[in-house]
Amino acid sequence: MYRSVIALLVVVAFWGAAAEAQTITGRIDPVWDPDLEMYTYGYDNSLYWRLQVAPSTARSDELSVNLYYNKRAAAMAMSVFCREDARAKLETHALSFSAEHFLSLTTGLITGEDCYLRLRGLSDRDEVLSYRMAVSERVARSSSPVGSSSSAAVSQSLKSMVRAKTNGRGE
Amino acid sequence: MVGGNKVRFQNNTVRRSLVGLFVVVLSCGAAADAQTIAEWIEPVWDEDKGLYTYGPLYWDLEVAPSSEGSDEFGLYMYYNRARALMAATVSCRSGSGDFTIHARSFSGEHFLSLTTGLVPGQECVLFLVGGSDREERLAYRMAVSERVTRMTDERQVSSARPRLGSELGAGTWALSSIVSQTLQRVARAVAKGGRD
Repeated sequence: MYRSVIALLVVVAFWGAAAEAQTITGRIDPVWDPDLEMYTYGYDNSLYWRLQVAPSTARSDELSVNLYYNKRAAAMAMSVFCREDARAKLETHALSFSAEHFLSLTTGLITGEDCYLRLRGLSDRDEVLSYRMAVSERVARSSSPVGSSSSAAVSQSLKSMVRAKTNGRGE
Repeated sequence: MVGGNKVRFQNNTVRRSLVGLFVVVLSCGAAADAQTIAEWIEPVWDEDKGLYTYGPLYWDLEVAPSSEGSDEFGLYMYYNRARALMAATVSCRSGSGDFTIHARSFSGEHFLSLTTGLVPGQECVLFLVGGSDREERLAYRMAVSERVTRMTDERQVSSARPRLGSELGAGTWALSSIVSQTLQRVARAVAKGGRD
C-alpha cells in the first residue's frame, strides 16, 4: 500500500512542482568495497550537491527530494549535512533510506546554514544503477568533499537492508 | 527583492498545497493500514536552551521481522502553530546495541513528513520533539502506520535501566543523546526564526 502511495506522490511531485524543480538523472557505476563486501554507489563522494539555503534573515526554508532508482537489489540513503558556517563541523540534519526503488526526503532547513545533499548506496550485485531525482533548482553539484561522523552507521544500515533483500529473495 | 519574495510565496503555496494533497491522499488511500493520531502538546520552558519545547513524545515501531526482504515507514503530520519547529526522528538498533539516527526530518511550516525504509528485524523508536519562542499549546494530526504504538511512558534512562537491564540502558543513553542533539538543532532554528 505504501509503495503505491509513494509512487503516486512521486508522480504528483514531478508534475506539481515542475515550476520550480529540476530533474536530475544519472548513472552510477558500482565500486567494490572489500571492507563492506558490497558494491557501493557514491562512496567516492561523487554524488553530492550543495544546497542554496535561504539566508539567515529568512524565517524558514525547506527542501524536498523525490528519487527513483532502477535496481531492486540496491539500498540507497540520502542525507542532508549542514553546518553553521564553513569552519564548523558538518552534522547530519536529515536522513532517509530506501530499499524499494523510491527514496524521498522532505525537511525544513535552518536558514543561513551551509548544507549539502548526499546520495549513496550499496548492493550485492555488480550492476550499473540509474536514478532520476526531482529536486529544487537551488541544488547544484558540488566539487568539494563532504562527510559525516554517522557514515559508519549509515553503511551498516544499508548493508543490513541489502542482506535482508537477499534473504527475502531466497538466495 | 520584492520579486524574489513573490516567487518564494508562490513556491511555498505550491509546496503547501502538495503536502496538503499528500495528507489527504494518505488519509483516504492508506486507510486500510494507517491510523490518524491527533493530540495536544503543552509547551515546557527549557531554561538551558531558552525556548518552549514540545515533547519528546515516543512511539515504538513494529518493524517487519528479519525474515522479510524489506520494510518501510511513512509519517505525515500537520501542526497548528506557525512559530513552532518540529522534528520527527526514527532511531533504531540491532540487538542490544546503541540506538542511532536512522531517519530524521524537520519542519518550520506546519507540515512534517518522514518517509524511509527500515531494516527488518531492528528495534525502532519514533520520537517527536519541537520548540517555539512562544508559550502556545500545540495541536497536531499525524497519519501514520498502525504499527506505531504510543509508549505507555517516556523512555527515560532512570526508569528504563532497572526494568530492562544494563545492556538496554546503554542503548537508551544513546537515544537520550539523539533526542538532545535533535532538540539542539530545533533550538538553533527557533533562535534564527526569532530575528524577523
